[in-house]
Amino acid sequence: MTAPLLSVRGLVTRFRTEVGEIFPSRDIDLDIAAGEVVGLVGESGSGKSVTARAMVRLLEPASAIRAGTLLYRGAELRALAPDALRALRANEISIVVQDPAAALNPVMSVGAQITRIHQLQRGSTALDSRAAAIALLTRLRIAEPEARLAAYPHQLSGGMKQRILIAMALICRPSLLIADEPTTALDVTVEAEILGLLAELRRDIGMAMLLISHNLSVIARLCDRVAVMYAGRIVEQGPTDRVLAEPRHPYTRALLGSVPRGTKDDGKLPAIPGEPPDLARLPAGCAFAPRCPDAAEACTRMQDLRSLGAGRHAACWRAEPT
Amino acid sequence: MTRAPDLLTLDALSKRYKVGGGGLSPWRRATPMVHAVTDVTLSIARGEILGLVGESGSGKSTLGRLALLLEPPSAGRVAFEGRDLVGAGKPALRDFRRRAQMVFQDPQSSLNRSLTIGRILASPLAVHLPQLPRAQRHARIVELLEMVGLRCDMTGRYPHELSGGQRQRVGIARALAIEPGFVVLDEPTSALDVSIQAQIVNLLLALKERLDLTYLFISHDLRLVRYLSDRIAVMYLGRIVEVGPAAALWSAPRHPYTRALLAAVADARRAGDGSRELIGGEMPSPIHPPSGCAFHPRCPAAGPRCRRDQPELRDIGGVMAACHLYDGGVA
Repeated sequence: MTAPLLSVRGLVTRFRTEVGEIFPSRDIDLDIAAGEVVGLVGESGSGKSVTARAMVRLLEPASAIRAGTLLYRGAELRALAPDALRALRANEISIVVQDPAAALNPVMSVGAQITRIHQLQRGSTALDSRAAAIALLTRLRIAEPEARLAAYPHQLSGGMKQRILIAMALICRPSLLIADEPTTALDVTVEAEILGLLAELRRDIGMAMLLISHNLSVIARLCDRVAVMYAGRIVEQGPTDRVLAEPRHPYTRALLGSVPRGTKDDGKLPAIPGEPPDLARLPAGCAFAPRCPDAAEACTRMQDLRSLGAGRHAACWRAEPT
Repeated sequence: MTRAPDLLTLDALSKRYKVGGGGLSPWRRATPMVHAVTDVTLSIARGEILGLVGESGSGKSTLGRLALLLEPPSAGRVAFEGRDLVGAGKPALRDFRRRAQMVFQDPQSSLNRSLTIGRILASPLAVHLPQLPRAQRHARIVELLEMVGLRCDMTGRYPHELSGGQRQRVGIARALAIEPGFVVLDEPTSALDVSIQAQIVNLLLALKERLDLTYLFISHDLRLVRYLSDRIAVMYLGRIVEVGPAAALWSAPRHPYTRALLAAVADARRAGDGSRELIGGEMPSPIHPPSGCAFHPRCPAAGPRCRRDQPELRDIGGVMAACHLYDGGVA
């Protein structure tokens, strides 16, 4: 097997807050192969956004990364000088965030925002960048791309703004795209269209993607593999169809069960009792144990993510090998 | 099966808002209007859960507020138990407000952050049941907290000390404090994580049975609406485009917009499957709604007639849909 594009081992992040130290990522191991789409799923406060940003050194402050190795094409990202890091972001790794309205500059035309990136990072001429931008917008099925380039963010709908952000992220043809809840602010019909576009672009450009979402059906549509986070740890990972069809960690099982599928006549929704834990006050041992229907004495000791075979991993001592 | 009698009836209800300051100049152009809700006729039977789905800007929240007369409609009628309420006197409205309440989307902003939970729950009691003795009022608050699954020592806490799920439980307790029969639930779980959403949904269903409630459940989440609702109404750009029994509508959606909505949430593993029904574009502006059927610019089946004529809701095998496809064709 060839070496993965990004290989993360033992990543730990820490923030000091008013309520004490919190660890949004603990002992994170994750590989992303070239061209692969990996999903990172979890509820609010599970640490998924911080973890994803830390993996590619997009986390501020950099000192929040406390431990771990981050190998990108075999090079340690934590050792990169600022110049090298900037070059990496220019040519290799891009990010699309959830709220396009906040991510776009309101006083600059979207065309200028897209082409400026291309010019700065590729050193191309204004004419070339414009042609590249128009080609990309056409690809994103934006009607009248020339006219759109002259528009300002407030003149565009939410779905259109998200497409512009995607165009900005893709104009330099990155090898890895971090997509942080890219469709959460959008309506379902627009979401479906954007997800379709991302799947298409990934095929055509051959880029890898780390898709962060709280929505399992979004993950199911796009991802080859999925990692499930709970309270700062990956509790389960494996091929998406296998994990969703036969979850091995009780949290994954409970999360899938909470999504309404039938009607109320089919019975009550199997809700997870209690609330997600406060990252500043985690229980000893498995963080899910207080809400887990199968919790036992052994759960007061921490269970590391262990291999179950067939590319699957779970952090539960009850999880049976495949 | 005969339907229970209607509890709430909305008849040809419309709401328009002026947008932008026209100024006082006599030469100004006509003030642009947002057509938030247009000509909606809908009824809710006693004991029923009616799900109202639509995307942002469809007018579903405005319709919920109109149903409770939280704002006056621009045209049309709202009747509760057969009694017409638009233009009714204050005593009639006061009685209606005692019996019809609302749960809002975001408990963070709909609970007064400077009041304790006890005070928040006491205020509807103070307004609607001022004669209630102090001790009984306190007993009622404790009972309400127990009913929504909160500990009774919550009364002294402030909203910011609670989690999102707990805050929404308080929002529900506040709405139920004065024992209403009808509750409008406006996206009550969309600010919550899915594991907490399931708890709140189960609570809402248990309370409905226990207190014999009728719900208008507004949501953009189709699977949630299908789970909860007895009937479903689909809104697009201010109008109801399809309404009918939940099972019939879900298994065979008639309107092309409903079909697109269902295709968008289908369990399809890849966007490739089921994408036949997917649509492009976005909802147009309610300031300048398209001519004819408002969905025609995005509709895969649209024809000349759709650009010209507004389709009426008609019965298509037990489900009402507003589409020319079922009324002589689109040509």
